[in-house]
Amino acid sequence: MARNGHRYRYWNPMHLIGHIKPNGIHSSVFDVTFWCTKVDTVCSTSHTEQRKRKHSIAFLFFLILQPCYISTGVSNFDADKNKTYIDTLSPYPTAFSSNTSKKYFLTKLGLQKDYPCPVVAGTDYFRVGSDGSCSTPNCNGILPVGSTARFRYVLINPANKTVVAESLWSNNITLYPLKDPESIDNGFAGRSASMIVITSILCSFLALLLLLLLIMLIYVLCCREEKQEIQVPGSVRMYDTHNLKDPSPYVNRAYEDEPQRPTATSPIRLKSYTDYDLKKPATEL
Amino acid sequence: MTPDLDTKDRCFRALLIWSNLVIACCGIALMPMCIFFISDRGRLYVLVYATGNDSIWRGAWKGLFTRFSLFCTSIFGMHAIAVSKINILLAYILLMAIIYAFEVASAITAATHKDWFVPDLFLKQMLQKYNKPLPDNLPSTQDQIYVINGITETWNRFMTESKCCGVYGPEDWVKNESHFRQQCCQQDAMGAISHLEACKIGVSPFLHAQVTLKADFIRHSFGVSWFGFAILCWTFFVILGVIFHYTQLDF
Repeated sequence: MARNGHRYRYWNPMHLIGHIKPNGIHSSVFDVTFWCTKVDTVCSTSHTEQRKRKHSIAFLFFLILQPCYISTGVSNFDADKNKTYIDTLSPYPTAFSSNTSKKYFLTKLGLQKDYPCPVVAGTDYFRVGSDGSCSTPNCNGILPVGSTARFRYVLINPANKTVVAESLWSNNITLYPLKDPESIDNGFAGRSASMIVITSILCSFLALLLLLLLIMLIYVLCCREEKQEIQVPGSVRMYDTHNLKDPSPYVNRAYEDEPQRPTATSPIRLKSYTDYDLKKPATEL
Repeated sequence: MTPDLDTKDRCFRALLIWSNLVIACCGIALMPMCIFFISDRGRLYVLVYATGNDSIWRGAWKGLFTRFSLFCTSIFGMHAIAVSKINILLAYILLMAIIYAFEVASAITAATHKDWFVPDLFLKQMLQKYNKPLPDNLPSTQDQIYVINGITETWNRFMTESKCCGVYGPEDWVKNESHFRQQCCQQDAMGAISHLEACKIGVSPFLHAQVTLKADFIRHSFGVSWFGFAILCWTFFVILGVIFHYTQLDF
């Protein structure tokens, strides 16, 4: 099986693109060598051979490996390859049509000089399936979706269409299975951590804030007590102004209407003036 | 009339005034972030609208107005604390509580609705609606027409400008029963495709194989939710301080 240097690019299941480097095979009968280069190997086959022989060169086979079926494309081809008119044994339209079809086909039969080897950005490639859905026996048609394919080159004698030389099989290439877009699960993936942090912290803050606001309003409206003015009996009646040079007693006018000093029998009646305004009537405490 | 303020009270008031200044600065600085989000420079609104979960824009609108109100109210608050009259301070506290509640709503809305945006949501939407045939132009189908046109134009713009292809890569189109997209191919300065064959077989510079970057609005929506969260944490303590100050006032 060819292993080294295979590069496979999958773009579209309809068009499988493969770069194959078949290993060098020398055919003793016809003295032809396939070089170890890419798919366009057939273009670089020795020119001497080309002049001597005009062989048809068939390109890739598609052989489908279906593990569930007993006969696969590879085994079918290997069984058929010694027969004549190999190119008609399994034409493309019937190659994959039913469970009993041979599951291989030959494509791009032609002379080496007519072989297409486009060079794209420095890479030579052969694009399998580029003919799309076609119906001629050896067209380069699309492969079944999701299948696994292998391919190889063969050299065919144009007279009786027998296989004279062939490259090794490539590796398995599995095509993409198609998915229905409706089956994509676009559902909710769960709450992220940031969302949980933000929501929980902010909700608790808001709840606390409202609670404290409520408590504040209740406290202010109902539960607040009147503040007492501090009164020290006697100390405001007459006190020193603490002037060191000229200490003089200061008589508090608030107590002017009480001429006598307080005694035990006539204690001081403390009064409260609203807004410290001596002109307004005082209330006795 | 009022007794002289002692030092502690004066310090506390100064602290509250400074805190309100911080809220004012934060409010006016974060309001443009909401404006930027709402203005939707990347023109991604139609993608979100098509999912039916465009509440993130509502969160941003709320955030816009609450942050501006925070700015105005905190300036008023600086005056209210300096004057320290009962009614004015009470008005300030109630106003701040209302704005606080709305900002909480904005931050939570933005944070919650961002969770809906998983890549598969946009993938499915893209596969179902990109370049699909439009229905007949009736009044009842205007919304569908808007959505299909919007999604097609938005994705075309993404794929050519950001040099990407699909949500996860070119495989999106391949694996899901869809068609090859020429917008995924590299284009030259005149808008023509550089090399179509190379693009079709997937040669690297000719096919954009990058993943579409997560739409920027998901990152900007962080600003709506997380900065709102930050400003609210600060404002919470400031309001507590003002409430305490209010209870200590002499009536």
